[in-house]
Amino acid sequence: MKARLGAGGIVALTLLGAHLLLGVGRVPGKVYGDRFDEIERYRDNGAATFLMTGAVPNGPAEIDWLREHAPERCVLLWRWPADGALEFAAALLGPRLVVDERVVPAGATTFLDLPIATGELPSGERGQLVLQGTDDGGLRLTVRPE
Amino acid sequence: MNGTRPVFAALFALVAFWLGAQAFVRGDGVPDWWLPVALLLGAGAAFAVRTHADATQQPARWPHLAPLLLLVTAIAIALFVGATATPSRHWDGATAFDPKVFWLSRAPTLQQPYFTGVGVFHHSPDYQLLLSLLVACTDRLVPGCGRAVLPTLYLLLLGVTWTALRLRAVRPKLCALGTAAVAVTPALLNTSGGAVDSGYHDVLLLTTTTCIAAGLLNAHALLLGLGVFLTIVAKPEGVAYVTAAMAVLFARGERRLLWTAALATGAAMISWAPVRAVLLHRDGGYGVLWVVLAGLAALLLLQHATDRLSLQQRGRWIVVLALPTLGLLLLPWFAPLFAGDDSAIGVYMRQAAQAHEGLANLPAYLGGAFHYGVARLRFGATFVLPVALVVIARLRQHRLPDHRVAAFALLGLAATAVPFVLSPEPDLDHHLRSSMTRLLIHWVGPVWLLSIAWLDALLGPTADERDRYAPGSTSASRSRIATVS
Repeated sequence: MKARLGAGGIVALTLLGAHLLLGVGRVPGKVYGDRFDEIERYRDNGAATFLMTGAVPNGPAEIDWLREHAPERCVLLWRWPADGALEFAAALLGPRLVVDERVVPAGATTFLDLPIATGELPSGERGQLVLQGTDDGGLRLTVRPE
Repeated sequence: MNGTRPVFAALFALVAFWLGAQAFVRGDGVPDWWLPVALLLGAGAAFAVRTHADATQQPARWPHLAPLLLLVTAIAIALFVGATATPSRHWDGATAFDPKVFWLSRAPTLQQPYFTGVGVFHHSPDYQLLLSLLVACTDRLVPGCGRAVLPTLYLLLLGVTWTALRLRAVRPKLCALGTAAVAVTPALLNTSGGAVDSGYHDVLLLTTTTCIAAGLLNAHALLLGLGVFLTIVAKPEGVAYVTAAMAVLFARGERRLLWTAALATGAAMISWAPVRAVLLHRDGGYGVLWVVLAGLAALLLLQHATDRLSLQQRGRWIVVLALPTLGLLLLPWFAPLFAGDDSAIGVYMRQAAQAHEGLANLPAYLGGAFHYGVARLRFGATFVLPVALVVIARLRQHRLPDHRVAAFALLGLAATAVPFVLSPEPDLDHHLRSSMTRLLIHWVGPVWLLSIAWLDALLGPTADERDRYAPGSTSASRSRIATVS
């Protein structure tokens, strides 16, 4: 670059060089190291634990329980509030559809041509399974009478 | 070696893919053959249209390119692994993006309960579907590889940056350094939301804003039009950024580019509004479309009026800056139109009625912008270098070129304040922490294009260029020499 640099040009090129050095220097540790660690933790812990631990008060155990006990082709009911763990729940429970219980008539056993999931919770309650959001962004399982 | 044609091909292909997909997805579904056909259409269009500039540019040689290609390859490998090894590993990617991709991969149509069922938990239902459809359709063609689209967009971003600087006749070494500067920007490569492989739409939007900036930098109507179209169908913020670009063109009286941007905006809105109506369960709910089209018509009429009045650029800028103020004053009257609208725009528009209260958030916003944009080094020198260049230019009494891009970036960065003024989020610190970096990401490309173009101008023509171009130079090289002499 055979050009007139001057002090200003040197300052500008130094800033550009610092940016490039900072970026290149991060490639081994941040771009590769952190990313591969993160992938390993995701695979070791599973999606629910990886995504929700530390981000919301609880939820992974409830999600895992539903994935084990609710059929894949079903509707799961949810109840407000919706922010927090419930956002992950709706994403992690696919292909189950998570549906606002207010739009499902009481006594209905199907919705959108899918059966509404029923079962018995570990607590012994029995009925249509409901994911209940909590005010602190957490999640608990409850039931609605069939 | 220009290497710009594949970039145009990819941009054309994105537009072609969306134009077909937005129609197919409302019906029986996007056929699996559509993505390859769109790629072919893109390649064909890039070869059919004259896309590149001055043949007298200094050719880029392998010594300029080899280090850049090595660096980008090294980074891209990590990003490809990061994107495809698992689903999204961060909040919005996991909660909003992945479910859309999941259902669209099974059946690329909106005619299924996840999208049409009232009461179904569907996070961010009015979010643009371009990226989700691209990933889903790719996954159907090459199972397990759909998310490879995410790092491919990063490569397209770098291609757009390179193309913009080459068209601007920036010296090849600086083209390579500028492209590398975008490539290594930490916020794009971190393991956090907003990064290339995170499943967030921010890098797609960054690619499209960079395309707009490339069009403005080179007064290149095709790049501008492609960028404007894609910005609208990339992410909700796109409308605000396109408005910033059009405001700049209006103020500068650039009729051809303004009409290009207006037509591209209209086309994009006409393609997006029907999809949005389905996603929001509103038959014929095209309110946003009519508002935007009316705004475009008003802008073009205003441009015509200011032309007839022979209003100078300063007067046009006064109009541009007065309009948002007028808009803010009128928002309380518009807000009721969005009552019951639970889309993102609806939420913000309702909040707009209390905009004057949100203005109290501005000091915290400015502090957050400095903290996340500069102090934490997530953007390296991205936002520092242009400020330094302005200071250097003033000390040298040197007039910097490329005012279009500078004004676009300034207005766009100012637009990042809007969510903090209008947001219903009560926890401002949390809002800054979760959104500030992502909003700033959208401006990495435009700001680097500006910095490199300014740096090139400040360095002046090389001795080689003076010998080669000065006597009978062509437009691009002449204009560059003129700006620095």
